[in-house]
Amino acid sequence: MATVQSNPDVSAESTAAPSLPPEVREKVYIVIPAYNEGEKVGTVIEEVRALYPNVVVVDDGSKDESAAISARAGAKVLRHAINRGQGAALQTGIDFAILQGAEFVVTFDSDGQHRIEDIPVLIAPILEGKWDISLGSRFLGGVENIKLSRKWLLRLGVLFTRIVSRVKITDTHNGLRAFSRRAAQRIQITLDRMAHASELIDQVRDCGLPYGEVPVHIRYTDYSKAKGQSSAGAFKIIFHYLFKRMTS
Amino acid sequence: MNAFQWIVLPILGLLIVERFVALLRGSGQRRVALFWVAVWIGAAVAIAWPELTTSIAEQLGLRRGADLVMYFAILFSFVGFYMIYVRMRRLDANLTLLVRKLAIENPLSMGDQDTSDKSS
Repeated sequence: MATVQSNPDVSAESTAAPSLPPEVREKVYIVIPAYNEGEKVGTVIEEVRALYPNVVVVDDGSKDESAAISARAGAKVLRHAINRGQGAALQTGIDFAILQGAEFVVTFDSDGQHRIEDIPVLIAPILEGKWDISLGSRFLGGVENIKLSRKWLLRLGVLFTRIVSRVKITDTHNGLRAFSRRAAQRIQITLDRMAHASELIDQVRDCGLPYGEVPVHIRYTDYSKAKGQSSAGAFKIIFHYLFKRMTS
Repeated sequence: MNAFQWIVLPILGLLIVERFVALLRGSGQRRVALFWVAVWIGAAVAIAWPELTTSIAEQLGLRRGADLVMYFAILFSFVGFYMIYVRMRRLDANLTLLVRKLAIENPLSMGDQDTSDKSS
């Protein structure tokens, strides 16, 4: 039975990026969901694998060569026979990482907007026993080339989370996160598509393990902007999330 | 009986018999079959004795029996949509579990990709 933390530490860490010893890096599994990311995913995997040998790519029913490219780049590739959404892909990757004996699970985007320098920043507090879940925050760290409309939409997402989930964090829809093994075992994403980010925050709140935010840097590129969610998708996300809350 | 009643009541009768037969054969869910029997009997009664719906409507503060039937039909439709949506979500979740199981049981790594290219 989980022990609910009455005062979860959600303070920001602002220390310089620590480096992880090789024996720790071997226990880190980087989970990368990918859907039609053939153009970029190979480069992302090569960058990550330079330091972290365990990369799990979940190819979410891509119609391009994402799976073959990922395998060639050295990742373990799990293939969804049909597209199930980013939330489903993340849970598949997390389940697999746990089965493989992961001590730390990091979720990482396939479009190149995340930096590998932020991985140790996420892992360090878990390693120190400070908390079990690190949530990346671009608003504590930095963000490049973000459109003003996207920035405000993300701010509204934060406000929505504060009101509905009653969790005070500064960035609710950031795909860069790290979990200890026991935290990853308690997380069970059921919202298959983009609403999983809000569901995940609820699970982080309810799983009974301490969590915190760390500053990370997000680089928006023309590629990642083109691949990203449209602002209109926010309404769909809210509908799926609220429907799930009402019916569960 | 008017022409409408002559046409619709036999159809409703057939639907009631069909559900009763399904009930006796034990095919499908018993609760669902009973629900549909109740719906078709309700519809048959309302069509056979329209004055009955009018008197119920008046007791509920409505003017006409037709209004009562229409309101119930709308309500019924919304409940139906909701139930279908919930069921669809459940099926969706099960489909994801199946897709996940297959993916985890068959990981692909370096050296396997050539085979995968041919199979995809």
